[in-house]
Amino acid sequence: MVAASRDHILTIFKDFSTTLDDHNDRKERLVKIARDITVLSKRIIFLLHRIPIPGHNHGPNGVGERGISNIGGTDEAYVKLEGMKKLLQAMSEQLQGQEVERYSAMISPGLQEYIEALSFAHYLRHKVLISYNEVKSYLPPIIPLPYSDYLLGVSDLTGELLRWAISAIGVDGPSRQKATEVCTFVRTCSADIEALTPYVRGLSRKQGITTESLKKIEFGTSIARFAVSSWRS
Amino acid sequence: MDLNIAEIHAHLEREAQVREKIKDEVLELEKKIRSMTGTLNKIHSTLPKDVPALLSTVRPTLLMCRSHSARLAELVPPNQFWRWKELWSKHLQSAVFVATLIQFLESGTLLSLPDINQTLGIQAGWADRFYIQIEDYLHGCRYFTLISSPYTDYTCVAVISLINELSRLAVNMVTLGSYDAPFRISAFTKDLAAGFSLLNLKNDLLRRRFDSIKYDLKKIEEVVYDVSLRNLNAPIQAPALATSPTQPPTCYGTSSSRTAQSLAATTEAADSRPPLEAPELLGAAEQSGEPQQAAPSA
Repeated sequence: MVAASRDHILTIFKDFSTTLDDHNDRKERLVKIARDITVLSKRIIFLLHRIPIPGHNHGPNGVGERGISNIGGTDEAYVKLEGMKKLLQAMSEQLQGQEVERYSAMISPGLQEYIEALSFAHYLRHKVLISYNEVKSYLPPIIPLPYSDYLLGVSDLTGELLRWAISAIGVDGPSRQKATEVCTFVRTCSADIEALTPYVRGLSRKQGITTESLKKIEFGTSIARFAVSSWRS
Repeated sequence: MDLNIAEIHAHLEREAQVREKIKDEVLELEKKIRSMTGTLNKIHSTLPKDVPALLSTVRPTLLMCRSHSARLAELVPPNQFWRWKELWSKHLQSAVFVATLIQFLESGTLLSLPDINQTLGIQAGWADRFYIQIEDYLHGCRYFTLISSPYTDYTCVAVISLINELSRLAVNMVTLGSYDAPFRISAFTKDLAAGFSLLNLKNDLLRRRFDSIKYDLKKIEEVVYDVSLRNLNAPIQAPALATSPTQPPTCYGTSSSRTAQSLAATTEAADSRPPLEAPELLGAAEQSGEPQQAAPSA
């Protein structure tokens, strides 16, 4: 009787063991892929920041001091974003036949960083916010794009735009106008996303950061204008 | 606000409505489960021979959980189990704990996950919406028993709860004079611990809760040691049942357990009030019964 009950229990647990091992291994692989996606996305963001801002002194061949052509900058970023499809594909293979939501905690950080890079490149090229469906078209169909990840990723964009705007302010001429454009864009984004904050966990914190960034951009542009007027007088 | 954001807003609003509906239903389920865990708390002050009567008051409530299972399975949209499971997972773990505890008290065995699913009326076809996950099972059984299912995680959790609870019961059974209960509990929990040792646990919640098992085992072993040292245990006949209604423990009559006898007498007196019929009244009845019961077990 005792032995039978013990065997019964051990059988149950052996069964669990296989399931748990599979789950844990898959989790581990997804975390690794997501980390790779994060690293590559961050590199793309840095690449986008290195694109010379119009008005900078360029080298002899129209190449900026960091070796990136003004015109081809976003092109190169787009090539790299396309290149990341392999990683996204690998991610979707791990999710094949799985309940994808179960692994959202593993893939979300990578996904959000990717969306941040994508939306930054998109903004620099088109001057508008990338839409949910446009982001989706970059992902393999198996990977669902939660609205929360889209919103959180796009929310991070404002931080990058702050950096970009501050460098643009340092350059006299049309790029200072661009900083003002960025300021308007960030203000619109912040207003649009505000209504969605109650629905998405973590979004209100990011909204706070966006507001801080917006204040800094506004301050920067106003200082620039003040400085210019005082130089000219 | 552009179309993109407006669409997202509409979608999030729909999801929020689904969440509210699920939350309401889970609250109803929680009420039932809390009334059961409250009543089951009395096992610590109930003589083994009276436990079946106690269990019979809990069982109808457990079966009433089926209607909540069915409604939740209706409310959760297809393939969205993982989207919403956090809303009910804790309560489902308690439900598993209750079911496994009842099973152990009745037959000394571990309730398997398919059996639990059957008890709670959870159907195999709901696997994409509402089911018991293996982890939850293992957490709940921390108290008493183990449920077997394809969803290992839930199960594990419930089982850990069962073991925790049993270590408490071992001590309280000795206080009540039921000296062979700790031996059966010890054998059962050791089997469960052996089962857990088959799992390769990661450094997560399940691992941390698993770590607590060894303290429960130690506690039970100490009780067994004390009882053995004082020769209080009658030879164990059947290790299967902790509480067999047909075989009341014989140790109550021994001269060495005079204190236990008087304790048992008061407890019986406290328990002699009419059995509870309406499950809704369980919570209130329990509160009124508490002071009487607190005295003997103190």
